[in-house]
Amino acid sequence: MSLAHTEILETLRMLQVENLDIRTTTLGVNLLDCAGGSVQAVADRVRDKLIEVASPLVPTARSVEEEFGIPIVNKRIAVTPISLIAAACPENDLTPIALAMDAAAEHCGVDFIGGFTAMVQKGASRSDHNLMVSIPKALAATKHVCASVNLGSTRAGINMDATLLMARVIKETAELTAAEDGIGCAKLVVFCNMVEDNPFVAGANLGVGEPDLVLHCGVSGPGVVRHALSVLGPRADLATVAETVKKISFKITRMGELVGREVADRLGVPFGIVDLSLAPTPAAGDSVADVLELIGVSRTGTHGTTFALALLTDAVKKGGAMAATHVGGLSGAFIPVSEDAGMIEAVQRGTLTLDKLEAMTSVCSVGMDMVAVPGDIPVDSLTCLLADELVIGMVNNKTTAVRIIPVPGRGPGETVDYGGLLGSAPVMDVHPENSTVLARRGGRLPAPIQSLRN
Amino acid sequence: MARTIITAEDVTQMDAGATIVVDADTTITAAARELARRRGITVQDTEDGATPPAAASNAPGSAPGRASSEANAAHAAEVAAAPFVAGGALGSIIVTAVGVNRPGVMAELSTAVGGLGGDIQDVSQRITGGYFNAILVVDIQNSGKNFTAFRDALLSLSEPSDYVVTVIDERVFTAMHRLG
Repeated sequence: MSLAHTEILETLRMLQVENLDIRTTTLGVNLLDCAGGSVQAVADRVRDKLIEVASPLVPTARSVEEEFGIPIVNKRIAVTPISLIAAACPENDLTPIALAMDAAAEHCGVDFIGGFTAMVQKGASRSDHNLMVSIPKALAATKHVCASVNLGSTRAGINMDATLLMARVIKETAELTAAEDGIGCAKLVVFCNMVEDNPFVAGANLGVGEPDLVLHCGVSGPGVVRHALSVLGPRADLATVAETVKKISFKITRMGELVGREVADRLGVPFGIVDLSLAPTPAAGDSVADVLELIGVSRTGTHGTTFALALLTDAVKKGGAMAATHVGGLSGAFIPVSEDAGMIEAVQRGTLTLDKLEAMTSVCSVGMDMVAVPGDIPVDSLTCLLADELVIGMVNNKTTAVRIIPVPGRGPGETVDYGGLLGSAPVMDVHPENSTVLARRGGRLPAPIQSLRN
Repeated sequence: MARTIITAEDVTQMDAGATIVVDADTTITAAARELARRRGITVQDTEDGATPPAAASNAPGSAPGRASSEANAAHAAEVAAAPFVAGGALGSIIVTAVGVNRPGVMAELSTAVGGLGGDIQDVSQRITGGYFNAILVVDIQNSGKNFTAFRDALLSLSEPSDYVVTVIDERVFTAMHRLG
């Protein structure tokens, strides 16, 4: 046969034992034509358009899933940043638009819809400001809507006024969803160097350079990498480890591109990008921390962790880049704490601290993700925590993000359970010193010298 | 010692009815193996160090390395040299069945495929420790039936206490293992 017995068995093992899946097919929908003179008019247009164009997504993805025998775990929608289409609305509260997005998501059967978004890296318009202050209510009142705000970029620097505002927004979002341990914050992320073709939530949105409709696809597979490295054993040198990850990443991405293109073809929309991110789930064996430990770190968080993560992220990118026609999104390795059983264990054992996590984000593909901290963290401390993470992205010309949950009424050592893919988060300790002066200076951090590239 | 690589080109120069012996130091590409099968040339896999009679004298040797990386390299060479069969990839399905061995399993699978007009292109079956592991490559292009009809018919044979069947589009496997 043109395919070897071993090759067929390898693919079956990946799918049936090692949790290989397409993590998400995300339909990008341009909503600029839904702009209007009142919030209600915009909301009505948004709901109607989304129901009209995005309804076929879930049945189409399901048919491909069944025929190819590959699970497509999530079907999602990403829309134009809402602050752009609400610019002509006189009202300050944009929550009705979020409610319309939620209703459309419910109708279409998607699990999340991203794009309650503003880009304020250099300054916030009135509409951007309205969106940011609407976030707590919008996230508390909806189930499927995700919000994101870009606070900085390598070209613009970091908008610290907006960062302080977003620290308040994060705290308020947690308070408004206190009954569910602040779950609203799991749908809220702030960025530096946000990408405009990200298929993963909470940061999914459709940038202004994208077409009317486009299908992006996110692949995953920490379990597959884990298996390959466990077969390789501890004696292989670093080049062999990197080669092994590259080869596996190549295979995973080829499959992702095949499935993504098929869904796009059947929907009759252009195929956008493959985001080749190793995204863990709480399922046994589907952990990025386990992969780091197979590379040779005795426990995630100890010395060597950043090194191992850098190797992993780079090898995933190299393998995937050769396998896909267009690579985009965030691409690399995600290290969400609550969604990764190995990371949770490392925090509970005290090996992985918030400070080490921050160091790891300088070489992972995104940033500080799904981190629970005490609910009484002062706004100024939270502002500085955000600023530290954002500046790593700004200086290194990469995307960094923070999705943090100040869990109301909880302290270090406690664990909150969010269920499903969001997993359970151990509450991590933060520094008691409060840098009020830095948080309150305000203004914009000047762009670094590496922004002067023209 | 230098590894011997047998390619499809080597096989074209051999007489029908010849035998290729593949020992531990020889790699035969998937394309060569396929061509040998079509031309009636026997490929004999052995680990005992017999010299392959049809080895190309100028076959390139691989760099010395550890045993495991040699095996990987050999596998990679096979994969890289194998042709991307676009025609075969369209409209084919891969059927697998795993279960406790008993008489009649292959008959049941092939009857179901034949009943729907599927053309079995290749079969592989191995029995390990009383369990069988069967793989069928089935061309459904000219059957007049779609993927779902085949999947439903074959999955209806599946019974956890007997054997378990999976049906997957062949494009998944070719995308992952072949460059085209």
